[in-house]
Amino acid sequence: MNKVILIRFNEIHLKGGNKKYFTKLLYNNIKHALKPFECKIENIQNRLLVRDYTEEDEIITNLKAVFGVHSISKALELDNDVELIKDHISTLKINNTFKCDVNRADKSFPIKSNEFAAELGGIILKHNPNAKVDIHNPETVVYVDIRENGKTFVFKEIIYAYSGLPLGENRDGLLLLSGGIDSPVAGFCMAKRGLRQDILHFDSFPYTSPQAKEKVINLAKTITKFIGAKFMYICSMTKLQEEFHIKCNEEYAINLLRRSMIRVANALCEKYKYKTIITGESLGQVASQTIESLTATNAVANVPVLRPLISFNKDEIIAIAKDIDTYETSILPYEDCCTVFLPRNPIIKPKVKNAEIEENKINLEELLNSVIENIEVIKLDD
Amino acid sequence: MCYNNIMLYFDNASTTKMSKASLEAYVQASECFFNPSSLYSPATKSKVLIEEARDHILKYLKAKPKSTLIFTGSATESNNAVLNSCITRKDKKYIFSLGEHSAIYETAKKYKELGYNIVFVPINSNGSVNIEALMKELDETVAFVSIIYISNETGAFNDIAEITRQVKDYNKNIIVHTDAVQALGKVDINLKELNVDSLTLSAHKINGPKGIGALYIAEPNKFKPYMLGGGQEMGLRAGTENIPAICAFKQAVQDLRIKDYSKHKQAILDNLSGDYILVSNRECVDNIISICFKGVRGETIEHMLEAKGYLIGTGSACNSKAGHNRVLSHIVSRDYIEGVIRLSFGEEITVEDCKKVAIELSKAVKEYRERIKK
Repeated sequence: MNKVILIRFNEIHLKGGNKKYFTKLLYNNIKHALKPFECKIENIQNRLLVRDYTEEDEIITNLKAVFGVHSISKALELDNDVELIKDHISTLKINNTFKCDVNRADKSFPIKSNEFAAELGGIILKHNPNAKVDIHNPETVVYVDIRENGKTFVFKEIIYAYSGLPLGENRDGLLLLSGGIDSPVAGFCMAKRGLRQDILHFDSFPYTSPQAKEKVINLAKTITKFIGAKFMYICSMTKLQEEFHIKCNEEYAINLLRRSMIRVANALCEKYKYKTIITGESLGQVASQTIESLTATNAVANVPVLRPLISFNKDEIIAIAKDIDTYETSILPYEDCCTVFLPRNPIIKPKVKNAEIEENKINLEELLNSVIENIEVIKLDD
Repeated sequence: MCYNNIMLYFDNASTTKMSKASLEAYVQASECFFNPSSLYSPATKSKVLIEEARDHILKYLKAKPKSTLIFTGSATESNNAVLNSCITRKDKKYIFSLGEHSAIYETAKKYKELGYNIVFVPINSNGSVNIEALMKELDETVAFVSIIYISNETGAFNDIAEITRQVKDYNKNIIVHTDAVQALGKVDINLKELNVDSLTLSAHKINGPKGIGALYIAEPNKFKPYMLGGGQEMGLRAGTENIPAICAFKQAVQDLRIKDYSKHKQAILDNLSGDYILVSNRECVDNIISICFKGVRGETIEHMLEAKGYLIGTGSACNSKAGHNRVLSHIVSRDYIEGVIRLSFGEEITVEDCKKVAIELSKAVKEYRERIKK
């Protein structure tokens, strides 16, 4: 009888011919997530097992952050032997309502699921005078999972993870991370679909503080466990913002800045082979997030810009931010790039043509080259 | 090394560099690692070191007989301890100035939220308490008054001796507390003249170590113990004493010389240009100058000056996390509040340095305005 952690996955089952590839990917990602711990990971049919460990809760915390993992259980592993299973069930202490849930994947097991569940329930009742069966709404469920590999897993709890798809091997995405609430959540959402990402942050020193930068680095470190980032790029937009502010129509300031951000991201995509840019925009949240504003921004993008939060309400975004532990950092009061040089009346429906006219008032190419040349690269810890 | 010696440091009201003598005292006292509460003879040496430090500081402050001083972990702890000890009844009134340090202000605010009768009295244009308004608040329910000695934001001097006299004349049972963190070493503190019931001090503002503060208590038998345990610090604040920090604190007090910074202040004022309000007027101490520039962001100016080798402040560091300057928001208009700069001098700053920083500050403000002008 061994103590194990049982890991289930769901979407991978639908992958047909690619199932093997995704299972391998998930296995590798789990191995990476459990690197700090001494343990063994084993692949059994449709399940992964962790065994020979001591730090159970810490391992489960890390497993929950691995996309592709559907659920996790702390289980006891027994041989597929009727008497052995019954013996173990007779030792369980249950003082409330319960039911037994038997899953017989091993069709050679001699007793059918329902019959065996009833039999095991009887054993529990015999040994626990306060226990009572409730099939519909039990306080405790005793799960008995009889697998094809000759092993049975008994557990009482199913801990749900984020599901989704395992992070890919390549860092294909470039996440534009501000100091706000939305962008870390956007990175998380895309990572849930298997998109591994690096991070690009814009600052405006000396108009923003080193604390603001430190805050974003902390955010980056927090989401790295989800998005698998290895590098963070920090790009100072100060010179560009000053030029826009002095020489261009104030109403277009935010739009021009966002177009410049996408251009900087384009350059990094080209240099480091990122295939997509991810932003935390949500339709209509602020002036720069109207369809017209997004169109003006998209017009300069050389790769698809993914906006996973486009239909999210703020409270939905906040709920995820709290769940992934970025919220408390995001709400620290240091200003980030976007709040400096904020126009009194930003344009809500910018036109691409007008944005281009404004950009022609400054030497955009030269300024962009200069800010790109000075990008600071930070290596994030694995 | 986080501090570059080439930088000129103008933020001494925030904290100071530990002096060599204080550091030496710290290291030397670390050798005497024995727990002062132990009974073997080497431990008695530890006890003696603490008592010597206590006596020295009390003597320096010209403390009243039968009074005491307890060592704490910080001035914030000292201030919290006083409020938590004194604010006990909902039928009594507790008076504070709007210019109190956040260690007092936030604690008082918490009690106000809990339903206690907490009154904040207004401050004058330089940050000092409006004494007239304070006296108007006195009635038979008043149990406690707390006024900061020297404003950490503006350097404004509050005449604590006079305030205590007037308050005690009204009712001698009213407890008067003062936070003297910025006063230590800047003005001559004479506890007999001040006649306060309690007073807060900190070591790191006078070239001593961080993590050590003190609380003077005039009548220890009336003070409620606030940390229970092994009965240290006369039973008022339990916890094994931080002997190295206490000895380093003593050394820092021993080395205190009240320095005249009037020429420093004048050098700043003579070389400053631009549209600004000088909050720290003549009634403020000379080592802290608070200036508010119109239409600029103090934080940006701070970063611009840093790039030129000057470390300046934008107001109390204890406020910077809160995102706005609470004290100055009562004094200056909205046009100026974002442009607050605080310069505070220490031992190493010369009059010539002050001239240089004022010139650079004026240049930075001009440059800022040019950069963002429309």
